[in-house]
Amino acid sequence: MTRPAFWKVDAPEEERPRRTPRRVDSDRPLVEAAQADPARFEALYRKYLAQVYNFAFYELRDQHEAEDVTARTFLAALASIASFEERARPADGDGASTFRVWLFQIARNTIAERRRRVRRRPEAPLEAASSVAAEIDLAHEVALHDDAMAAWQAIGRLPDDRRRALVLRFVDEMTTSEIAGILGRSEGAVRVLIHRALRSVARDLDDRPQ
Amino acid sequence: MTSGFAGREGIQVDALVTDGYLDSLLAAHARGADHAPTTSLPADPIRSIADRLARELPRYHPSFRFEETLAARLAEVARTMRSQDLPERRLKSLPSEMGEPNDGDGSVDRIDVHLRPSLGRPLFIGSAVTSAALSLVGVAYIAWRRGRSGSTRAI
Repeated sequence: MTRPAFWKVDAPEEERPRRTPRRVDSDRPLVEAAQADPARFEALYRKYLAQVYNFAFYELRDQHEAEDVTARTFLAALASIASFEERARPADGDGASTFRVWLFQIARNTIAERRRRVRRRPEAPLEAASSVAAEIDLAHEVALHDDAMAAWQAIGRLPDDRRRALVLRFVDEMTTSEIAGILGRSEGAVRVLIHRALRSVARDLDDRPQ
Repeated sequence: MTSGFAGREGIQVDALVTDGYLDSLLAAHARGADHAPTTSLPADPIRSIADRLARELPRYHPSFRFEETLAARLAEVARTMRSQDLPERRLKSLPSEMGEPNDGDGSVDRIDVHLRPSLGRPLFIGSAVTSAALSLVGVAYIAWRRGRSGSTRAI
């Protein structure tokens, strides 16, 4: 039977094409609660605080910068929660959250804005500040194991997109589909980014004495 | 292990295999297991570095103090968003405040950038909102009001 391009609204129920049931976004109840009452946003905040902070910390490598970006991200998300629209797709998987993708898009934009501002103010270059901060944070505050330190440093040497994809995959444990949404790339491109990033890190760590 | 493809196709196939491996590896870690049963494995260096990163990459949590301070700030913003009927006498012009140079102490460039072009007329917020940090409350309130009345806007 040929499927009509436009189905008449008044066509009998049994003649209408069946639509694939829409998958429920894992955060839908929390998002709807926050949209109805902004005070209920706290549940989303508590759920994603550490993830957003991790993303910012891996990007900026400075505790205070990461805190600032995290704060801006959540404040901006709260401000716009009423206009957020869920766009879950079956391909996104069971635990997927379009809210999380949206939140990380805000975080990514906030980080980019922060970097632009730092570039406009050369008296406080980010690289110099963050490398010192990273040493202090990691060596003295976090007391990472040597291997973890080497992995952290190797991740930091990756090109931006590869580093982001790898951090989102390993640290924030996102799906390829979610990462694609955040980075604005196709899922295939994200898979290749991660594969290449792993190859680069493997080579990097092989080349350096442990 | 994959090796039968060359060039662009080859890397896409390898990337697909790696992706499947990562799916099962991260799922195994979430269950508390070290290894993941998979039907196809990526090349050795990829597999071992993936195992290593999944095991060793540190995760961070912000300090409790930061978490609670930000929670309080968000609650304050939420309260402002709920109280839509601010008395006119306590209002002051927003654009002049938003137009001040950013001194990096908590003002909101990103929101500013996206709100400014759509501000058709002067907007007003409570005069109690004076510091850069508190001005977030006003900007958030206005963005929320605008969001409720219409279209989705990317941040």
